[in-house]
Amino acid sequence: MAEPIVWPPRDEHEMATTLAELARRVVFPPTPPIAAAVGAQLREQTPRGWQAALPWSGWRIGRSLALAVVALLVLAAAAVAFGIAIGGLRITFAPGTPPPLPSGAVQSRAFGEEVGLDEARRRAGFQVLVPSLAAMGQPDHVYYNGVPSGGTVSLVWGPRPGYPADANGIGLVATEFQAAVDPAVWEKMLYEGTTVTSSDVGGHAALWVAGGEHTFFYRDASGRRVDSSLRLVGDTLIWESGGLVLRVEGAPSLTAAAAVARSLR
Amino acid sequence: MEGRPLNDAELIEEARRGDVAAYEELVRRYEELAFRTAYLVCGDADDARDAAQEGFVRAYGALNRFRAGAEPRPWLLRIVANAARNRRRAAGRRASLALRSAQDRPSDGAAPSPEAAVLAGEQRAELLAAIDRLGDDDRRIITLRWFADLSEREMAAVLDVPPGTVKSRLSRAMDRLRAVVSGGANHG
Repeated sequence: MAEPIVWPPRDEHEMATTLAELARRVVFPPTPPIAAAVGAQLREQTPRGWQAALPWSGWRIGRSLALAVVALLVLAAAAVAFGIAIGGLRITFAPGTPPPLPSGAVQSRAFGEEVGLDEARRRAGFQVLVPSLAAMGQPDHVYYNGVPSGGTVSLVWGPRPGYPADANGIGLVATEFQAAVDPAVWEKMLYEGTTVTSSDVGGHAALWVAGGEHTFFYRDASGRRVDSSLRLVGDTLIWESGGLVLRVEGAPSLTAAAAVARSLR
Repeated sequence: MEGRPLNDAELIEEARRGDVAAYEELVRRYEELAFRTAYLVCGDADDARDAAQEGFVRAYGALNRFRAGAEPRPWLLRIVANAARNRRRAAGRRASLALRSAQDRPSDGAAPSPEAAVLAGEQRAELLAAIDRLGDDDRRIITLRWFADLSEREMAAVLDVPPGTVKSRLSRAMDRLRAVVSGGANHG
């Protein structure tokens, strides 16, 4: 039972009760996105690895948030025009919302052919990495897709502690393919409401794509979009390491995604 | 247990190793508190934003001096408040807090009733105006205690005063506020 408010307050106790009541209603100016600005500033001060090759890493993003916002807007404009490339992956932006998927596409996810981990390792033209994070354990499903050259391996987990299932029962997806492919082959399209934050995984530049909806598809040799059914399961961390482009999708936060990413062996 | 969100100490450890993303996550946990604290110290939202950002960047550079196992909250608030004080001094003016009280129902959605222990809108506005009429030191310690919900130790860190003096300073400030509200004494 709350204490009655006495107005005006007659002693320190009543003053405290009144201030506590006022505090429940006080409205502060909205908190700006300070963490993002701090992260941008720190990365600007300490470029590492091929982070220096990212389109925005050479820009002077100063302490002023306004300047950072301007830089992001310019980056977005440049991305609309040219896309951002990481290895064989190009990221482009599109207005509006994604077109509807064919029925059943979300369920099938078009990961490719389901194979065992050993078979995926045999077929892939690269060393397949698996998270060593204890919470993840072995993937529940392993898929191999022959596109692009060297193939793509997708590791799929159901829910795990700290990695809840999405509407399709998928907790996490890790996808790997060789970076040395034509950047035009794979394309990730971001729609309105999606944000891209620069991050890093073990000293390698990374992108955290969060919010909104994004699709992922590849093009054939003539540049035609072949398949847009690779709808991502959720927010995605993308980076390149050791000649591979790696994606961790569906983790509930950048920290959770980075924990998986750092544990890949 | 791996897979769960990292706690503050783990994020600091990762940040010490150069993981900016881990530090960004730590900042995200404290950005609202830091911004509001800086706002109450310097009285200007733009300066508070810049001070909070500057403070967090400085703290990153000082992570190696952070004592393992200590609470990061007062440490971060002290650094941010220092930046906010510097900005206030540089501005050389006394800013009036633009705090206001919400006009709508409380966040729990309960309908107000005559019996409810609530402060009427007029009285809230009167109390906020009285707080704003206080001297800088009084206003700051009252708003840090009640609006930012800081502990005595955190208030001492933010105000850069000995912890043992916070309680008596707050008590005197409350007395002066009560005098202003009662329409009586001067509020020096």
